Amino acid sequence: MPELMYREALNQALAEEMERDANVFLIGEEVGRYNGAFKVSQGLLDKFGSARIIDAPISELGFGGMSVGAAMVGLRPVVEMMTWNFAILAMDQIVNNAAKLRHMSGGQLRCPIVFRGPGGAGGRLSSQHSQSLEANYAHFPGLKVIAPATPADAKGMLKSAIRDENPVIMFEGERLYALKGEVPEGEHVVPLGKADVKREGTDVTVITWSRMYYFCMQAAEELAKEGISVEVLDLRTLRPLDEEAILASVRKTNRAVIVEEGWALAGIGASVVDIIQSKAFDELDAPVERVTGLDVNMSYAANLENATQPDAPKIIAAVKKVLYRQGA
Amino acid sequence: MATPIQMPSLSPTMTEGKIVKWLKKVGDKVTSGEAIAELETDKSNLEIEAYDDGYLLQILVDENQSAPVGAPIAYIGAQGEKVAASGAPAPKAAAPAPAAPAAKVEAPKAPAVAPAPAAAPASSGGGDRIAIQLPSLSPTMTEGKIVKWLKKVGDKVSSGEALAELETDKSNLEIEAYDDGTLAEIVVGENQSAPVGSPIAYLTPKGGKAAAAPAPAAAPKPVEAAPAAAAPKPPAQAAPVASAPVASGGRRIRASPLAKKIAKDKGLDIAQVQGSGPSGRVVKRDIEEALARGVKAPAPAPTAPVTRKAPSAATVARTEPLSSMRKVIAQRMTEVKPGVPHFYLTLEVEMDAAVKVREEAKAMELKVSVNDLIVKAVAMAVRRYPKINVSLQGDQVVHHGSVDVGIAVALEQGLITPVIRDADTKGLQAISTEVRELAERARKRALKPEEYTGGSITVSNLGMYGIDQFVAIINPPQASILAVGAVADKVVARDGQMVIRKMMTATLSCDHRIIDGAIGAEFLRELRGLLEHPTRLLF
Amino acid sequence: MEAPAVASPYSKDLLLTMYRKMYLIRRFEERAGQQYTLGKIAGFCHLYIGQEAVAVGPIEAMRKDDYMLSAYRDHGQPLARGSDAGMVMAELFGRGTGYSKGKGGSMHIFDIEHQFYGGYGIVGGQIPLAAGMAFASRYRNEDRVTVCYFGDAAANQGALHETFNMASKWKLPVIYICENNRYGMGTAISRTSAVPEIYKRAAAYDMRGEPVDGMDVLKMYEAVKDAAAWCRAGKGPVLLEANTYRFRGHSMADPATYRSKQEVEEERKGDPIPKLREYAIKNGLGADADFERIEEEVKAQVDAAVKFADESPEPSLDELWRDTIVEPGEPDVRPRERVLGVKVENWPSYPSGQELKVTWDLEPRAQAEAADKKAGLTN
Repeated sequence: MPELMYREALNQALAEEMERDANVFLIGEEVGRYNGAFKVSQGLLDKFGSARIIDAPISELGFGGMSVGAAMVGLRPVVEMMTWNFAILAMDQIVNNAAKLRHMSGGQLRCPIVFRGPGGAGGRLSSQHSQSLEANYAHFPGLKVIAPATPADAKGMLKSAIRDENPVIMFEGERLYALKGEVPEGEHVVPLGKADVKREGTDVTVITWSRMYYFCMQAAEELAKEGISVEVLDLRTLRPLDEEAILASVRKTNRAVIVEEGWALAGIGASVVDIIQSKAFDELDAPVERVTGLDVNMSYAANLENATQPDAPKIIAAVKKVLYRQGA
Repeated sequence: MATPIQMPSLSPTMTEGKIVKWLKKVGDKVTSGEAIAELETDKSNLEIEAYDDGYLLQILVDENQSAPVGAPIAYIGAQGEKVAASGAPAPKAAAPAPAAPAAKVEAPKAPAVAPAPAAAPASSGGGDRIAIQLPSLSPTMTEGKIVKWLKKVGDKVSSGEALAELETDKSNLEIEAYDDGTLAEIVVGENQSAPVGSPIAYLTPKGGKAAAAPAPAAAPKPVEAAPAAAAPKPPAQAAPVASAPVASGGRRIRASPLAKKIAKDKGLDIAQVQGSGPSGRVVKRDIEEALARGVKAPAPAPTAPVTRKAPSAATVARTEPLSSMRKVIAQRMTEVKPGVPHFYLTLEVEMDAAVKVREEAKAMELKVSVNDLIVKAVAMAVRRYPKINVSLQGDQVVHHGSVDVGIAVALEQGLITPVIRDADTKGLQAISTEVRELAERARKRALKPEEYTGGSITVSNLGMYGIDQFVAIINPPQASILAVGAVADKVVARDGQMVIRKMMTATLSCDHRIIDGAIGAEFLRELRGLLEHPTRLLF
Repeated sequence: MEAPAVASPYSKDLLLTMYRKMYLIRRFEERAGQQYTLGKIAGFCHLYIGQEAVAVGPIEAMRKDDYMLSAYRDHGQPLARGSDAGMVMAELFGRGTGYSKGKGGSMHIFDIEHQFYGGYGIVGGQIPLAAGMAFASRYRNEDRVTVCYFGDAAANQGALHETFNMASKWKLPVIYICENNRYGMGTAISRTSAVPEIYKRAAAYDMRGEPVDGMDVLKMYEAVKDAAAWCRAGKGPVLLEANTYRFRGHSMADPATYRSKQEVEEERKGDPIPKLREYAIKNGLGADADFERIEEEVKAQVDAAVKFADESPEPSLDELWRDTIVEPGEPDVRPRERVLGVKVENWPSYPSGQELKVTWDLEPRAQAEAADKKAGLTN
């Protein structure tokens, strides 16, 4: 299986889906002649032409809403947001229109559209550019929200998202784009709404998604040396949550740690804890722990930035805490 | 055909409206879309429009009068047309406006049909009857119960006179009349409740016509006096605290949900399992270990070891219910300190004599520690003060028959308290051997449950760590624990002289629900006497 | 009957159709207002009375397959496009037989069969959607036009400016009709706008923009006929500012204290409905009897609509869980088929992704390079 960077996997998915379906087009800032702010759309303009790879003005609300309109009459837009921080400007169109069209029309309309772009901290970019906003979107019925961690999932889930009949919000990551992993060639489709056990274990379940997945795997390696067997569950889709997978893993290990790059209050982890406590209360041998970004704005200074984010040592400490081990 | 114009609903919150001004008079021509009256709502002043062409035939709600949303306020129809008799408000529809706003009003099915009685406007009855509404007499009052009517139908009533006795959530009060007249109708009978603001009776005003039939449709249905809701117990009559149930007797077991589930499935008494999690929380691995050792749901009293003598009548535990006062004390203490309410007594013990005993034993090549001596002394003190030898189990105080002393043994993952059974009857040598044997097996985690459960009292000794003094947490269901520190040379005053003595601090923690300070103090004083004069142990 | 000086360019049929539609909107809205006061309709209810010409003129000038969308004062346009009055009323009543099963209510009428793509409750929110629908038409090389209504106050939303820029740059076939009824809720447009003549904003985006008398159905008809031809010729978007007036408050709870009675009375003299009737009679294209017959028919139609709505059941509670997410393989709901059991023929359909050939070169390479060069970015 070839090794690809995360962004190359996305590029492959886009190219394959645009090949497969002429209704699919990509619009966003710098996606065309510039070849993509993060090179996700590299080479696509030459391949598909200017009506299908569209350089948009800096008007997130405008081109976001325009694409919703195109989806209402049968096209399948992929809207690249240079980062999700900028997409806040388009939130009205995503939330008030895309997520509600099916409902407001009583089932007459559908809105097959993908909004995608990097979320999470980029690295030394301060507060406006370093936010994990997936919880905001996961809040809205009518949307699907995905956040794949690996190149293979990135490809397979983008393909599924483009084929989905609903608005899909896809969180990628500036710090994920260059990560490499094995990616199946051709028709590799990963269903939405399915979490994935990325590492099997028996002592504790660590639940995560997106970039935090790598810290969790690192922590699991470290803990294995101490004889602690960690199961890593990658949620991949944040709306709808894969309750079945969460509960199955917790029923097996009886302990859970949820690792989230974003803030704790009203975070996705809070909902995962709720699922666990309400549906697997009797399976718990310890209270569920959360590792989240600190409840502060992200600073530019390297040490402050690092301290704000979850990392492997914080995850290790949380795992030991739920296992009642020393050093927690 | 005459068509009613109904009081419009013009905002989501509007329930009634007041006619400020009629812009048309009876007989005027009206066209669809034309304003016919000015209306004051909860939000603003608006115009009422006609939705049909025709002539204004009748005005039902006069200027400055209000009507609920949906009530007909006028009729329009063909020129000169007479509003059918049914179109005029029936006298029985004369319930005053405040009674009606809550009523949901449906539009008449056909225009000619008379408006539903409930929809009658406030003003249309000619002011025949005055509603007496259930007064709101406290900020929290939502309904009230009529205890007694002081007037009966037909009685003359003058303003300020008491009409009825009312029971509210706070107290019993009288309902006064605010108008003169005759009591025409009682809507809410004795022992019935009604919400605040609903009519409970009607007066015919002085000089008014005799009361017509009541308007039951407009009045909220009286609520049957339900024991719970409608008749709240006044606080003054609250049952004495003593009769309230005891909050939580005995020991609160900390265990994870999973541990509880497995224990339940396997029929294991979780109280018998020592928790290794935070705050002694019993977790899955504790249950699994207990199961591996074959622990089952045990009998309330620990099964006697084979070596134990047959219990005599005197040594059998007896149970007596908590007295009322004791219950109150137990409850109060629990309120003060959740879980087991502790109190602590501390005194210093001169240990020179006790240390000497140890040295004498050593000379006899017997291994007896100061701690063994303390265990023996505790056992003897308990025997002499059996009021300390108790446990609280639910509403019951268990007076233990035998004197079983637990000793706290520190383990790597926590601690465990093996019990020396009948310590009061055992010699120092026997106690010493047993303590060492139990402690060793405890460290290997090889104790049987019956070896570490039950017990009268526990001795916790941190002297070997150089601790001078500490307080220990009671190990339920025991009711006391003794915390002893190190024996150390200290300067003390004896007969006005400073002398050096081997001193030890002992702190007794007691469960205040069932042991009071005086009992604890007497016990502790006895213990000090025994340790300072070890020969007393022989008696 | 007085003989017309110049022969009217309009057929009697067209004029009577327009009259029928305008009167239908008028009567429907009057009855909707009445039903609101009776508590049958709740929430917000924005009536179209006075603005009928702004809906009816353009709709008669459009093709049946042209798209249309609107804001939340949205009962008039679908009625004029041919929606079932009973089902629109049922939607207002919150009944299961409404176009959106009672889920949308007054502000969200959708009738895709009649190419009416909805009423939107966020001011200006529909403006980018219209550009996207027009984009899709160009993308598929269809000659459909999209007509999008918005109120005067929406002209101050960023959505309008962002969209006008793209629509003009990409020559999208979309006609924006600003229904300038002079008040954004209770605030006169001149109080909040540096340039209260909305049509002038088109100039900033090199886009065609012009004012139209929104109280004259024939002027609206002509303006949109011309604009549609312009769009179909690939010349880009058009902004029409329809100067109109609502005879009623912003919503049912509006006391209209911000404008005088005299103002409303004065404007009522310009009522577009009698105006059309007078024109037709003057031109010998209709007699009083024609109009009276139409009025009687429409009254009966609206009475039946109210009766239909009133007798319809509320939506089933099962509906709660439908229409939030499209399940795999789930078809779209065709309201008249669902409610009335009629076969809906003209539901929009498009070529599949395999059949479609995209030939549009939105930004030819040479043009892009020239622009870069002009900006001094490349040599």
